[in-house]
Amino acid sequence: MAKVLQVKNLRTCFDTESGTVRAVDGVDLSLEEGETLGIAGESGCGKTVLALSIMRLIPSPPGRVASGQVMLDGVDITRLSDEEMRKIRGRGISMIFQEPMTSLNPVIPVGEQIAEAVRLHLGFSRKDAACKAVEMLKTVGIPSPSERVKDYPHQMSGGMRQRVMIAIALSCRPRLMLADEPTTALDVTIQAQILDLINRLKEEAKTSVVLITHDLGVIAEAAQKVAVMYAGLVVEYSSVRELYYEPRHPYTVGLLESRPGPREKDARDRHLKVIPGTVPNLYELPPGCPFHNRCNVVMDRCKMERPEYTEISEGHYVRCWRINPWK
Amino acid sequence: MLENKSLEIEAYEDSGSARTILSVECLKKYFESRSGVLSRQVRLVRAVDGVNLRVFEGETLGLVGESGSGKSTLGRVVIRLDAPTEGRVLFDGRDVHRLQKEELRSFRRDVQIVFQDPYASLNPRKSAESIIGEPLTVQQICDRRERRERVVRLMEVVGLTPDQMRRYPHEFSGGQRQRIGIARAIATNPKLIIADEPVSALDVSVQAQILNLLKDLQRDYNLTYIFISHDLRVVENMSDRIAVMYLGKVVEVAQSSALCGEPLHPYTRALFSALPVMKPGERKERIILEGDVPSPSNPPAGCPFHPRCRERMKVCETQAPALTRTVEGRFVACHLIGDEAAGKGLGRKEERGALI
Repeated sequence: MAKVLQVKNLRTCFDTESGTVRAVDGVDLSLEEGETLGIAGESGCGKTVLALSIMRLIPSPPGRVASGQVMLDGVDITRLSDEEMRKIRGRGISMIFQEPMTSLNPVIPVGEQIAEAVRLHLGFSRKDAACKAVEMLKTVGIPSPSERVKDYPHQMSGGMRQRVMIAIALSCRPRLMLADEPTTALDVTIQAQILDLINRLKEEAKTSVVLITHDLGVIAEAAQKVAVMYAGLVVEYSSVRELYYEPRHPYTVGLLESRPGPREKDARDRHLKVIPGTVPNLYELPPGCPFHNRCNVVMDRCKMERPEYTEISEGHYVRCWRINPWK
Repeated sequence: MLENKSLEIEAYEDSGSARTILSVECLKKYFESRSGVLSRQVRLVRAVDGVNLRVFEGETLGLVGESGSGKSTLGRVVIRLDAPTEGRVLFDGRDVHRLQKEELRSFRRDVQIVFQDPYASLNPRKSAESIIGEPLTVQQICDRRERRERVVRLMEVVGLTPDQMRRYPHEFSGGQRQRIGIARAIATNPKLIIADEPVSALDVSVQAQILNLLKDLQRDYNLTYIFISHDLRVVENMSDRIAVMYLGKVVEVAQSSALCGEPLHPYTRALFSALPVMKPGERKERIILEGDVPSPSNPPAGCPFHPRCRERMKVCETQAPALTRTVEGRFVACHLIGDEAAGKGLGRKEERGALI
C-alpha cells in the first residue's frame, strides 16, 4: 500500500530563556492509506508538538523544526512555502484539536465555520458551502442539522462541538487527519460515539488518521499501528496487536500494567503495578536513555548512551538497550 | 422513604452488617440559575435529586457518573461545603447540617476531602509545610513545635521527603501535589475521606502510585472512602460497593464485583460497554448511546434515562422508577428490572410505587 505519511528523523526544538528544549527529538514514523496510527504518551512527551510539526503550526519563534522530513504522499512538506502549505491544509492534512470550546470561533455560527473551510480549500460558492455545512453536520450525526448550522459553539454540548470539529476536519476529504486527544474532554458514552464516528468516516473517505491520546484503551479500539512516545522519542512502534500482546519496551510494559483491568480477582486488596517517579522535565533530561531513572531493568549502558531505534521483528521497532544488546 | 430505608438495611445486614458511618437520606440539592443578569426567570438545576445512600465503616463506596450527574455536588453536600435543599446527611447518627460549634469542629476533623485538581486546590503562596500543617493549627491539635514533627511524619507517610517541606506548590509535579493534598486531608486523623476525582488530572503512570497510596492509608488508618470518579476501571479497582449516578439520581447500587460483573441498569450496561478494552482485535458487542446527557435544569419526565434508553417502555416516559431491591440484594432504579424482580416475588408493583 502507498505510504501517505512518512516522518523521518524529525526534530522540533523550542529556544527558551532557560535553554533549548528538544520537544520532538528524532522521530521516525510511517502511515499507510486508510490506516490509523495511535500515538500514546503522557503529558510533555511531545505528542502534540509532533502533530503541530506535521501540520506546520509550530509557533516560530520560539519553536522551530530543526531537522528531518515530513513526506505527505512523497512530497516533503517541511520545504514548502507558507503559501503552498496553506493549500495542503484542509485537503491534504486537517486537524481535530483537543478542546472544541477553545478551538472553535465563539462569535461565528458553526455552519459558517464549516462553510469557510470548503470555500477556502475547495473553492465552493457561498451557497454550495452553506449546503455542504448542513450535509456535514448531518454526516457527523447532529440532529436537525439545518437548524443547528445557525448555532454558536456555546449553544452546543461538548460532544456536539467535537462533532463540529470533525465536520470541519473532514469537510475537504483530507488524505490525512490528525486528531489530538479528540475524546479526552468527553464522557465515556460520548467518547464511544465519537470514536465510532471517526472510524466510520475514515473508512468512507479512505482518510488516514493519526490519533493522539494518553489513553491506551482508545488506541486499542481505534488504531492499527501504535507509537509510544517518551520525552520526545518514539520508544516503541509496532502493530497494535503486537504492542498490546507482546510489549517490549519497559515503559510500554509499565504503562499497560499500571491501568486497572476489568474484573481482576482481589483487585481491591492488591496494589496496582507502578512506574516509579514522574514524567521527566524536558529541561533536565537524564543522559543516556531518558527513561533509565524510572526503569526496572536499567543497565549501566542505559545511563550513558541513548539507545538506538531498532527493528526487532518486522515492523516492530524498540528503543532500548535491553532488547538489542548486540548493537 | 422509611420503608425504602428498612429495605436497604435488610439488604446489607446479609452482607456482614458493618456499622453505618454515614447515611444520606432523600437528599436534594437544587441550584438556581438565571438566564440573564436581569432576567426574572429562574430555572432550577436539580444537581442532586433525591439520593439515598449509606456508607459503612472501613469501606470504599465508589460514586460513578458522567459530567453533570451530581456526584461532586453530592460529595460537597456530604462534607457541608453546600447546604442541601431537602433531605439530610447523618454522620455517626448526627445531622451534619445542624452541627454547631464544638460538634461542627469535630466533624471537620473527622471528615476530609481530597480535590480533583492539585494545581487549583493548593494555595500557591503557601509552602508544603504550612499547607499540610494548617489543619493541625486550625483544629488546635498541637503546638508549633510538635507541628513540624507531625508534618515531617505526614510527608513521609504519603511518600514525600521532609526536605521538600519549604517548597511551594509550583515546585512539585502533579503527583506530588496530590500527595500534599492527601497529607493535608489525613493530618487531622479523619474517619471519612471524600476523594473527588483524585487521579483524573494525573498522568497514567502516576495514577497508579496515588491509588496505591490511598489503599495503604485506608488499611493503616482504618479510613472510610467515598471515591468519586468518572473512570469506571479505577472505581472498580478501588471500591467495595459502587453507586452509579445519572442526572442527580442513583440508578444502581451494588457490591463492586456484582455491579461490574453483571451491570443491570441499562445505563450502567451502556457505560461498561462504552469502555475501551486493551485487547486489540477482540470485538465486543457495544451499546452506543444516542444523544447527550440532558441538562439537569430540564430533566426529562419519568425515568431520567429514558430518552437515551434502548429498552424504554411506555411507563418510563411518565413514571420515575424507584430504587428497588432486586433478588441479589442489589438496588436498581429501572422499570425493566422492577418487573423482573416483581416476577420473582419481590412485592407488588403498587407497593413499590409507594416507596418513591
